[in-house]
Amino acid sequence: MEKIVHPIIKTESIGIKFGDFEANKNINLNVYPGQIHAIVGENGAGKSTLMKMLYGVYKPTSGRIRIDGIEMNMTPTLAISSGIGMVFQDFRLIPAFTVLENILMAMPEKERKVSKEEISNKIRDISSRYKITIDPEMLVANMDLGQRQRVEIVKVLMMGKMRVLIFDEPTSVLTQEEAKEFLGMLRSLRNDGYAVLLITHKLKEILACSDVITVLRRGEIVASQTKDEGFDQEWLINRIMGGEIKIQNNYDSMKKKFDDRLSILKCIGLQIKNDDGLTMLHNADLNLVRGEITGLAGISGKGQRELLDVLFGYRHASAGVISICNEVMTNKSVNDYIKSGVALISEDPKRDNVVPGMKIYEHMALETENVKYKKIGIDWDQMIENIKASEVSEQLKLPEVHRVLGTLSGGNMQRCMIARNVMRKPKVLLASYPSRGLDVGMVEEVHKILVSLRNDGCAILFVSEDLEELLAVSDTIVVMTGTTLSQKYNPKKVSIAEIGELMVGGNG
Amino acid sequence: MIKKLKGTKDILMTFVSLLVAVLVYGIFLIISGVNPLDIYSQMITQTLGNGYGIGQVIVKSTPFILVAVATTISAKAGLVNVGGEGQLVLGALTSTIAAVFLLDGFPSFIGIPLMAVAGMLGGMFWSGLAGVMRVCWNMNETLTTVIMNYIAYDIVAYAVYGRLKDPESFNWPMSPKIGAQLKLPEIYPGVSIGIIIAVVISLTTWFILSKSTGGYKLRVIGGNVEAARHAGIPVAATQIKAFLISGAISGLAGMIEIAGVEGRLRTTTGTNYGYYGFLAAWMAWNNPLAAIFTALLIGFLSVSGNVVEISSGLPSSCTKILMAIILLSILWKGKKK
Repeated sequence: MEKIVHPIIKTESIGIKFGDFEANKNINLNVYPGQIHAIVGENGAGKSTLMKMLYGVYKPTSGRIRIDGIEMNMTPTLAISSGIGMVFQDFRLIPAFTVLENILMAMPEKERKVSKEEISNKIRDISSRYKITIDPEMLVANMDLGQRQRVEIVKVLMMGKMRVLIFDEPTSVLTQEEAKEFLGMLRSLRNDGYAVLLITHKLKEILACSDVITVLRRGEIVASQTKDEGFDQEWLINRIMGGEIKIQNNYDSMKKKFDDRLSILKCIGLQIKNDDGLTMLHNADLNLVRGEITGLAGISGKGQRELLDVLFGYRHASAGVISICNEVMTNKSVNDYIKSGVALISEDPKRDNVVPGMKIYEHMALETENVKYKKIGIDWDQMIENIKASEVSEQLKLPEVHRVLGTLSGGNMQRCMIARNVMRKPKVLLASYPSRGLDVGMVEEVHKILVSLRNDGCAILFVSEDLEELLAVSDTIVVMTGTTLSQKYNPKKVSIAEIGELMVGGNG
Repeated sequence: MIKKLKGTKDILMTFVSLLVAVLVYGIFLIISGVNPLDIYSQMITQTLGNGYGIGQVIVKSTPFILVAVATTISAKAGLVNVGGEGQLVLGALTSTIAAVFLLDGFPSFIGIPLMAVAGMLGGMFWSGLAGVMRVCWNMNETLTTVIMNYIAYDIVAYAVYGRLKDPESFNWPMSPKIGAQLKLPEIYPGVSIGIIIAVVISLTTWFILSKSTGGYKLRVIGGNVEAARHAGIPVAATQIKAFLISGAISGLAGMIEIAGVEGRLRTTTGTNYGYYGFLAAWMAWNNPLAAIFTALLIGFLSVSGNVVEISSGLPSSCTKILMAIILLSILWKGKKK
């Protein structure tokens, strides 16, 4: 006789209201052990809110949550003691602490009273069991986002006897290769009996590993199906988008032809060190050409950030020459780069661009080159008019310009910063993960914006962890291999497997 | 419309937090065995009930306003400048030196502006040092400015016990009197034009900070240094500039103390004024306009402290307790936002 499996978490028509806004309503969700349960939906569909209710961060305004059949008034502490752990989108780590110290802090008080070695060993056990490579002694401040995420996962696993693990957009900070490993890890967690709740935008990943898929739209469940009942990409996209938009995988028809290959930004023999003085790139050459999107593929934390910093004048290369339109720019300041027409869409707008308390339109004047002046100050009325009149802000569905940017979501910050950099009509655009964390429809808008900027003659360096996206959008592909940059590849003549090999290959 | 409502609510909340402070202090007064109503009514009638009292409040508040504005400018650039005290004192010193040794023979219309310039240069020198330490050697400006305040006291003491001592002072540590023509003109008996200068500077600062491109850049730096760097704003240079301007304004406050109030430099000139100005700035949440009012409030409290001392026998330090309670309750109000 088959054993009846009871759900660990069962919600009975829970919902939550923020003021008049109903973020979730009438949600009935069952979370079973030994299952990967994917929660999908557009930006703002209410996925994160739902997860935060399960974890006790938000209190539902209606309905009940049952854990093992018992009704509970959830709080994060209660969630952890009931075995529910959450890996947040913005990691809750203290940069000034080592991995070990961060994990120690999150552990229950009782278990903390063991020796450092024992905990280190436990970390290593978990690391090897789930193939999560981390060094317990490393300072979190020196880690890239991918590494930080691994720390966060180990931290959650060590918080106590976990049964349910909630992941909020876990792969958005990972490269394709890392994401593959990550999915492997999820599978072994499932095989060990964990219930995994996975929020993600990446349809391929969902289809590759989920046992159950639940689709949210405007705060409600519109579909929920198990693997046995069957699901495929088309079904999924139709449920998410409401069958309105289909993914366009090729932008060739939109691309304008350029006869001359005019070099705009050129680097020769770059050597770049990170903050710890480690050489990230060595003898790297790069040539960004007018009207060309150069896709930069690579494992995250291999020096993408440092390279873009250097190309924006924010960091100085320890060797090599950079020139823009034949003018040598080596060791010049950010201001000089901005004046030469370079724009940077940062990988982390909150850290690099957002000023707390300032409104959206005030952020649009940060590089003051295309700003009109009135008397002693900036002509804000004109600025607001420009933003409202611009096509980009329409395409990216920017929020009302008088809202304070720092209080909005990460996706909003990102879209605002994309709009700002595109509105500047730069000669060179360095775009670091511009589509990260955005929903399918918005990703396509971002792609279209990049292509139209390219058609206006901009030289674009496009960094993304999503190889499919890179191949679809780019005119040419450069791979970070080992500690240098590869030659240029034609995206039509190279396969994902070949690029993947280059990414992990090399002498690094 | 919403903004306007918010403004009214803000003012109301300030009023409520003041009231709370007054009530709490009232309990303290009862415990001390005096009738709080008596004390409060004396504080008000004896300081604000006559022209002399009001004049005293204005004179007292003038340096507080200036230092508060100076503190605000640094704060907008993300720097906590507690050095208004030392910058004021040093400004008082340099302006006195200029007045005594260089400007004695000059007529008012040249002498006073030059004396003001001397005071501003003194303050700028002192804040500039702290700025360089901050920007070039990454030394915490809160600590360096506090330490430099004590050095400034010592420099003043060194001067007035030494070369700057008045030969006719019977060995009292004070400078000679500055020339009568170098005294600031008065707008009311005992009240110099210092207050007008302070208010004008405060208004100008508010205007520049909120309307100009430079003020915008300063606010970006104060809000998020990384955002400023990514926007190509020269952070180090701007922060040093902000510090220099702060120092100049504090130094001017020192000059006004000498030319508008004391007429000579003593070791006690300006003692604690810098800290009161700092308080005024933070009570006003670094808004240079609001700082005028918080500075006046602190000015009123310090003048009425003397009244309390004379009339009720409570030590004047008691009003400092009231001041502290008011500050705390205003900070509490800010926390609620």
